[in-house]
Amino acid sequence: MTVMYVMIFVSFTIAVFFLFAFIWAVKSGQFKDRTTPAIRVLFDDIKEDSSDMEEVNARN
Amino acid sequence: VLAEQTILTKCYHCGDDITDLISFDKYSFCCYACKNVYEILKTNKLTDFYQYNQYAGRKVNSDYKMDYSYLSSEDVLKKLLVFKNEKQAHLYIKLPAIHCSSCIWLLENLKRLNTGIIATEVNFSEKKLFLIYQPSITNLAEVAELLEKIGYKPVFEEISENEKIEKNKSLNDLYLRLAVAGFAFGNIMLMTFPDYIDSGFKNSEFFKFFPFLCLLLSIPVLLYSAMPYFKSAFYSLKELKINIDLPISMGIIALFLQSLFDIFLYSKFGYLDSFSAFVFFLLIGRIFQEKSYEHLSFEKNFKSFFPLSVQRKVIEKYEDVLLESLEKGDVIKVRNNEIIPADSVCLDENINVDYSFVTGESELQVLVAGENVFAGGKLLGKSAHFLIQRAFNKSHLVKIWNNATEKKGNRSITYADQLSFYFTVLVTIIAFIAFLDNISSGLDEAVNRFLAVIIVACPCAIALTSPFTFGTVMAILARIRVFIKNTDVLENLSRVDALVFDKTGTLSDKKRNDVEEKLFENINKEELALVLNESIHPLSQSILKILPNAKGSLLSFTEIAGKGIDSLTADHSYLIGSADFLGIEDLGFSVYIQVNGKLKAAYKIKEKFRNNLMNVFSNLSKDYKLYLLSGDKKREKSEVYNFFPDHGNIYFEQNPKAKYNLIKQIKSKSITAMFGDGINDSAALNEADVGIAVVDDFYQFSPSADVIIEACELSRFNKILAFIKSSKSTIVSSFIISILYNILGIYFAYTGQLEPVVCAIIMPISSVSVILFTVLKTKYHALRWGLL
Repeated sequence: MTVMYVMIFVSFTIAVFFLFAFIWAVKSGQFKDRTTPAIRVLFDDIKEDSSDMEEVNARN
Repeated sequence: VLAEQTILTKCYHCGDDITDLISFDKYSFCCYACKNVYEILKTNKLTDFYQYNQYAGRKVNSDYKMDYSYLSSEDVLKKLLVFKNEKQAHLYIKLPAIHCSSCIWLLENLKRLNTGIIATEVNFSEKKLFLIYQPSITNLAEVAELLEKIGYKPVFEEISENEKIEKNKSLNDLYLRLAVAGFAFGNIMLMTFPDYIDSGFKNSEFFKFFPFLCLLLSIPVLLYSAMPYFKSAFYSLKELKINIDLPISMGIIALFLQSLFDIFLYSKFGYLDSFSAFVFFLLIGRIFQEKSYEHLSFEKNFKSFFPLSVQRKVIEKYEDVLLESLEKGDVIKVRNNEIIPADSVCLDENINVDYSFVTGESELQVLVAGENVFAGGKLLGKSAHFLIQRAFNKSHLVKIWNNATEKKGNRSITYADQLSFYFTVLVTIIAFIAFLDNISSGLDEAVNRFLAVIIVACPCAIALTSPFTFGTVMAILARIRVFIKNTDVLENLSRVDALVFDKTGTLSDKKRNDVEEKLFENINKEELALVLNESIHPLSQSILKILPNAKGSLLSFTEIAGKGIDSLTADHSYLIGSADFLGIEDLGFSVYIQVNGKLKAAYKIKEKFRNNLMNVFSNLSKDYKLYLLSGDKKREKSEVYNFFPDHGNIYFEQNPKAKYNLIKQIKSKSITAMFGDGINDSAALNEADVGIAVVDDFYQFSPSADVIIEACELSRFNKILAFIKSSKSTIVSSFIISILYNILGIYFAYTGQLEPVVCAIIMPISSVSVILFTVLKTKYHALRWGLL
């Protein structure tokens, strides 16, 4: 049963780790803007030859 | 491709219907401004802008260009930049036009349009752009011009420790407290659970240290997460007022004490799971209530009404100086559409000033040289010079403002607070009876029962009722652009029985006029339009709106400011102006047109009232006392009488002070809500139980208020009020439900059956069911009033 003590300790440590991760996230301002980052990830990189691409799209 | 053909009549950039087609690069545009934006984006390979959203652009208002030269002044820059060295300058710019993901994409690629820009980051909910640029390559005026050119007119605000940062902080603080409570709650529950389902657990070796581990976890909950409740309860006791936080704190402390006894004296687990769950639920309620509208601010600083800088005359030249540095004796230049920043003397003849925002008087004032002007008037027409009489901070307007923003009295007592008084007294009495009743079976047992009653009677459900009801109401109203400052305001609104309306700008639409035309003889309207086109007077502009496009050729044009127009076209001579100017009998019109010496037409410019107001008024008058205040002079045939069939309760010639006094008088008899829009209403708005600012768009200046609503929502304000009032019945029925839970709980506690497991079941069930009930009932009411 001693393994239980180890497991409890490990799970507890992990939980504390996540608590502190959350506290760090709040303090570093990650909750300041909750809309823009969600939209930003959806943008593609700018294609340098975007005009050619447009024509290809139009033909399709 | 097919879709594109069917919608050819819409502008590719802004999506407006096209009247004058401009074709460019196989797309159609409604105006050159839109086409230009497309061209800029195209040359910089930013046409993806149109891929993320159709019609992503906003129409650029091209007839009125801002002059950003003041942004090169070092003094102004100091007020705007948050950081600066030789290589970089950082600042935040407010861009009210941000509205879609394309905006974010374009603005974050802004560096492609100006090589001096190092980086940009958009905050969508606050509609702000964080900009880093290289001062050696570009300057702020250039960036501002670029932003305006592509349709994002910038608004520069002085950096200050504004209340929004504070708001954010308090919400962050709640998140942290919630995280600690949630962390403890989850872990304690895991460790307590074996005890509930396995009676043999008591003999296991884990039982020796689990309770202590739980205790360790719950200490931060007591000392950190629950602290706001203790503080509030303490302050309320100090002021000898009972609020809802007092019974909550009693419950929290009783739970913790009882758990301590259980763990140390009886080697049991105690109620630590219920304890942490309780704090966790309460904090969720708080967060729900603290919802904030990042892009709005309810507390306005009068400075945001004024420009940052003004043009001061320094030896035959004008230079941009900060508003604060104006002194008595300075001469300044004010241009068309700018605000006169300080009390001063007019130096030019016949200057048109619109004072409606300051005094509520809707007619233009004509100033002659030497006349005194007060700060806050808006100059219309040609630019003019003023001699400053008083520094900006000492002006009349600032005084009005400072009077208005003196703190309102104590915060109102909420339903939950009222109830909690009786609740606390009753629970304490029952707890003492339980104590005395059981003293015969030993002090231990008596204390146990005493604490058990307080624990179970803890008003978790009551405490959650108001936040969730009002939180839902606020969220629903925010969707239809009615923004409420906080939940206290909603409680006040649900009690209101008198409504006071300001006329100019609130009931009437300042931007639109009704023009009444009277033709005495045939007139060539195209030619008239040609003449009026030259005039800068607002009345001419209003008339032009109902005239066809101009045609003909103009030979001469003279505008005698404040009087009228004398003009010559190829065929006719025109004399346009007031009856006085033409030397004819006044027939009650504002503008008369004389062609070749003969009176041909006359125009009357009337205020345009907002849509559907008549209906709303007749509906509201059934349940509320209505008042109307106007800054205008009393006139026999004013349209405002249409709103009040009995001609009662209309007050004319109301200046800010009179409005304030009147509100005070009405307030002594009834709970009052005041609707207003300008600085002239600010004192009255502040004095009323609920101040409601009516705005045409959310980025124009509005006075401090408890509620900010979009003007078009006035047309169904009776429904909005009915919806808000319905929340009262939701709260009352929810209180009844939670009191039933409490009676059940107190029965268990009184008879000594309150095992931790009973507590752990009753508490979450009562809380969750109350939350569900309030949210669903509120949504039902919103549907009923057609607001969802």
